[in-house]
Amino acid sequence: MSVLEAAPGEAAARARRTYPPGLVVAVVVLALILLAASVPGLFSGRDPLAADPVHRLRPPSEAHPFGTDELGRDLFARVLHGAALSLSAAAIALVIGVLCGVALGLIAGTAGGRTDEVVMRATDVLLAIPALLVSLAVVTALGFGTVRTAVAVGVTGIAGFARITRAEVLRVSLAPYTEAAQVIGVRRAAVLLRHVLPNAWGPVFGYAAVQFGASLLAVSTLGFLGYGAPPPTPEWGSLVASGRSYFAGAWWLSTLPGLVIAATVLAANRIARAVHGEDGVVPR
Amino acid sequence: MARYLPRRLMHAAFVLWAAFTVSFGLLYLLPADPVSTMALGSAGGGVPSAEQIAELRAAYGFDRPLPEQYLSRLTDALHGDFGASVQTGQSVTGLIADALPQTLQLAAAALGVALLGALVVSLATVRALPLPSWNGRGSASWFGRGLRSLPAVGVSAPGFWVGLMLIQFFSFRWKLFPAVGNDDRSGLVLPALTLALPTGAILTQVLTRSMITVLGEPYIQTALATGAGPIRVLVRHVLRNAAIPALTVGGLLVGELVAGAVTVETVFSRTGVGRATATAVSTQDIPAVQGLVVLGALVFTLVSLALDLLLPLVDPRIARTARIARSARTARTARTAGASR
Repeated sequence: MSVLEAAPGEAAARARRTYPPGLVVAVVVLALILLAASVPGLFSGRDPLAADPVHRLRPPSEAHPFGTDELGRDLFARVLHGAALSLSAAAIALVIGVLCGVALGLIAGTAGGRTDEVVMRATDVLLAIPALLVSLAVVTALGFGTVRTAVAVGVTGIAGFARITRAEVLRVSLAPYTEAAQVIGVRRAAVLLRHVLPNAWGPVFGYAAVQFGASLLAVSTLGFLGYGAPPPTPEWGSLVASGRSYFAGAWWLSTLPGLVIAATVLAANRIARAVHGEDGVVPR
Repeated sequence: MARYLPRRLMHAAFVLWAAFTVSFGLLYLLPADPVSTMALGSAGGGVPSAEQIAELRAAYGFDRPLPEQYLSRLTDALHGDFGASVQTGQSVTGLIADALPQTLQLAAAALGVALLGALVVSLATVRALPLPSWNGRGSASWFGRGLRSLPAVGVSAPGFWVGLMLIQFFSFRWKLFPAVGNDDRSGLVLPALTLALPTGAILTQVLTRSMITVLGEPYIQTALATGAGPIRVLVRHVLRNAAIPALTVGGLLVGELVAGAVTVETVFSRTGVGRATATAVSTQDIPAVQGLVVLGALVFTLVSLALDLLLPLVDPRIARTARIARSARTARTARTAGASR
C-alpha cells in the first residue's frame, strides 16, 4: 500500500533489497508462460493442429520438445497454443468472482441490517457446497465450453470476495477519515467510491492473487473432465485427459502438459504469497 | 449449550434448504434441456418426434409450472426422494446409496493418510526451523526450507495429474498397484494417496502455522527450561495445543474430499459418488446433479455440526471463546445498526 508514497530514503533501501530465489524463478516462469500465451509462435513455429501420421507418438526430441500425440501433432505447440485459452479462462473466472463479490460485499458492508444478513447467509450457503460441485451444477445448466467453465469457476469465487470486501468496508467505515467525510456532508455514494473502496482494496487484491492459481486449477479440472473446449482445440486440462488413452506407452502425453499446469499454478501461488505479504519480500 | 444446540440445528437445516433452492434455481431456470438429450438416446439414433419429447417431459414432471415443480420436489426431497435419474431411470437416492460406500471408503482412507502425513511433515518442519526455542539445535536451513515449501507444491499440483503420475510409476513401470477399478484393497492405495495430497498439504500449512504460534507461548519456554527435549516438547505440549485449528480445517475439508472424488474416481475408473457426478454432468442429468450437490452440502453441514458440538468437549477454551465471540458479535451488530441510522 506504501508503493505510491515511497519516501526518498526508501528507494535506496529497495535497491539493496534481495529477493528470495524461489520468487525470482516464479516470476520468470510466469512471465515466460504469459509471453507464450500472447505470442505462441515465438517459441515454436509448428502448427498445433497439423497432423503428421508418420511421426505419431514420438517421445520428446529436439524437433518435438514435448513429443507428438497419437495423430502426430506437436505436443509442445499444442501446450503453447493452449496457454492463451486456459489462462484467459482463469482470468475470466477471477474477474467474475471479483466484480460480483466486491459489489455484494460493498452492498452488504454499507447497507448493514437485513441486507447484510441476507448477503452473508447467501455466502454461507455458497461456501457450504464444495466449490467443484457448484461449478458442476453451473456447467450442467449452461452447457460445455471454455467460457462456460470459466463462468462456473467464477461463481465459486464470489462468496470469498464478498466476505473479504464486507470485512474491509466495515473496517474502513469506522476509520476517522470516513467519518470526517460523512460529517462534512459528502454524499454516500462519493464516500463509498472515493474513500471506502480505495482503502478496502488491498486485502481484496491479495486474495485475488491467491485465487488466480486456484482458478487455473479449477478450470483445468473441468477441462480434464471433458466440459471445456471440444476436442481439436488444445486446452491444458483436456490435453492431459486426451493423453490418457495412450499413457501406458507414451508417458509424455499427459505428463508434460500437466507439469506445465503445476508449474504455472506453483509460480502464481508463490507470487501471490509475496503480494499477500505472508512471509513475503523482506529486506535482509 | 442447551440454548446453542437448537439454533445450530436451525442453521444447518437452513443451509441444506438453501443448497436445495440454489441448485434448483441454477438447474431448472437455466436453459439446459435434459429431455431432448435423453430422447435422442432413447429414440435409438433417430430424431425424436415432438410427441415423444412431450411425453418424456410429462413423465419426469418437467412440463409443470416451476413453482409447482419446486414445491413438489422440495417435499419429495424432505422425504429423501430426489426424483429419477433422467439417464437411467433409477431413483437418484438409490443411485447415491449404491455409490456412497465406495466413496466413503476412499475418503476415509484419504483423510487418514492426509492427517498422518500432515502430522509427520509439520512436526519435521517445525523441528527444522531455526527457532530461538531450539537454542541453535535446528537442522540445516536448506532442509527446513525444502520442508516448508512442500505443502505449496501439494496445493499447486492438479489432482488428476498427480493420479496419472502415480499410475505411470506404480502401475505401469513398477507394477505394484492396479491402475484402475475398485476390486481389492490394493486398488485403494493410489486413489487414496491422490485424494489425500491437496487436503494433507492444506492441513500441514495450518498445523505448522499454529505450532509456530504455540511455540511462542510462555508455557513452552517453561517446558524447555525444565530441560525437556524438542521432540518431547513438540509432541506433549505444542501438538496438543496446536491441533484444534487443524481439526477444524480438517473437518471443513471433508466436503472437498467428496468433491475431489469426482476427478480421482474418473482417473482411476472407480465406481462411486464422484464418478456418478461426472456421468450425471456429462449427460446433463438434472435430477441426479441436484441430488449430488445437496449430498455435498449435507456432508459439509453434518461434519461442521459435529465439529461445533465436539470441539468444546475436547478443548474447554473453545466453549469460553465461542461465548465471548457470540457476545462480541451481538455488540458489533448493535453498533453497526446504530452507525447506519
